[in-house]
Amino acid sequence: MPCEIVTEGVFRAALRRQLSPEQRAAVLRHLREPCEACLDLFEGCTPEEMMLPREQQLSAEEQEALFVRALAPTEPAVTMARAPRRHRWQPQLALGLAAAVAIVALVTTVRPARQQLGGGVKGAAAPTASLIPLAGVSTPTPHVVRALAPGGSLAPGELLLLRIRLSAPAWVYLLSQKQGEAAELLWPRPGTARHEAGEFELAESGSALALEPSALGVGGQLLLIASPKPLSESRLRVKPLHTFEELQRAFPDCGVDMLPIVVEPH
Amino acid sequence: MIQSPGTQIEEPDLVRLAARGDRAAQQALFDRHQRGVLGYCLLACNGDRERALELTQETFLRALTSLRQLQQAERFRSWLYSIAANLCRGFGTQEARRRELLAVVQLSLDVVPPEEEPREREARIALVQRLLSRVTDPGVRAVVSLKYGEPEHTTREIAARLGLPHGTVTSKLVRFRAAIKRELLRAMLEEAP
Repeated sequence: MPCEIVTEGVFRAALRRQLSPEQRAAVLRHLREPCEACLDLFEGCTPEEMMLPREQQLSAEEQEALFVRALAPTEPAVTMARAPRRHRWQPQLALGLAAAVAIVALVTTVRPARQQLGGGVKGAAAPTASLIPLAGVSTPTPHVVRALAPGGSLAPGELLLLRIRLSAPAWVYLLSQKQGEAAELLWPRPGTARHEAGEFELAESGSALALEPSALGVGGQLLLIASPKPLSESRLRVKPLHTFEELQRAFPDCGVDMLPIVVEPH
Repeated sequence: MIQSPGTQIEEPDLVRLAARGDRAAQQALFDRHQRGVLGYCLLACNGDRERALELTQETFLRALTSLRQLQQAERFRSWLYSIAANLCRGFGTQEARRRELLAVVQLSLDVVPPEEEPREREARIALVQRLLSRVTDPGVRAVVSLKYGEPEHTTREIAARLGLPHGTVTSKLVRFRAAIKRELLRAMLEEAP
């Protein structure tokens, strides 16, 4: 026989904090008594349901966003910003969809120091943009297996996948730059639409885009540019950029990020 | 939504896979526990949802990046909530009522901190005793005394010691868990502004 005081409806209202002061007082009084009917009611719910009623639960999108942020450190640049950028031998990344290639190297992602320019990024609408490195494998389609913490390394055989975080809608461009050479556009292909604020993984034709450090070069560096308006290929052709500050100056109205890749013998 | 095919896998196996970097296993662990951790964090910081989301994110970030350090995969749940508890410490937990509420939450979730301090253990036992004082079924009292006693007994051990079928022991514990949830509701209502 159900409890006459703590009914199903009263219980749900209590979890939603929707009891009147009088109801709340009556329920509290009753909960101090050894009512077996109440226990029947409570057997049917979990503590999780009690702590987080249905209407307060995360949506599927919120859950995914939270998981992705938990998987990849949210602000890797903050940690790295304390250390000045070290100039090291930086062989070039070669870009390719994930064909499995045996890689005899450890690839370490290193953040440069990030500082605001004197006036900051111009324009209130300028988005902020972050490149989030992830380790992936190809089986045969590339997919993420773990997050790369700042300074994290790719194991031999792993591929570098990237996630991009935007604070505002933007046209997004990823460039690679060999040491001493002008940057070249890696992604996307022409005609790509604007991206909404949030996070997304780099992909082409529905498949994650993976970077593999198989072709040795010098000065591997990835540059991210998030522009509030489309940029032409000629606008993206810039002289070699060595520091984050130089990148900011080259694209003053844009959100930018820089990810040098250090390849070390394994 | 990222797929999480691991829902049928036992949690310790998921933990071992996740520790090796298996994203699907990490996702499955997240899916299983995000609601409880968020609920815990919400209660810990007095309903501040934004803060609770940050704490939940940080809890999973720390857990997923240091899973390899977890010696006993079976203790994942307790370990996860101990991370959340440590992160939440300071958000109103100095208040006796909030401390009591979080202690009831931990008991309701059946999580015991991996490195429980003697004071915490004493508080947990005192809470169990208080709850037992309002349980009328002597069978429940006998089972619970062994379950949370010194030393703590497994359900199999309790069944053997009391000469009861294992199913009876588990059903008595289910009843006691209902009593814990009654206490949880009471603590939540008392703590609410």
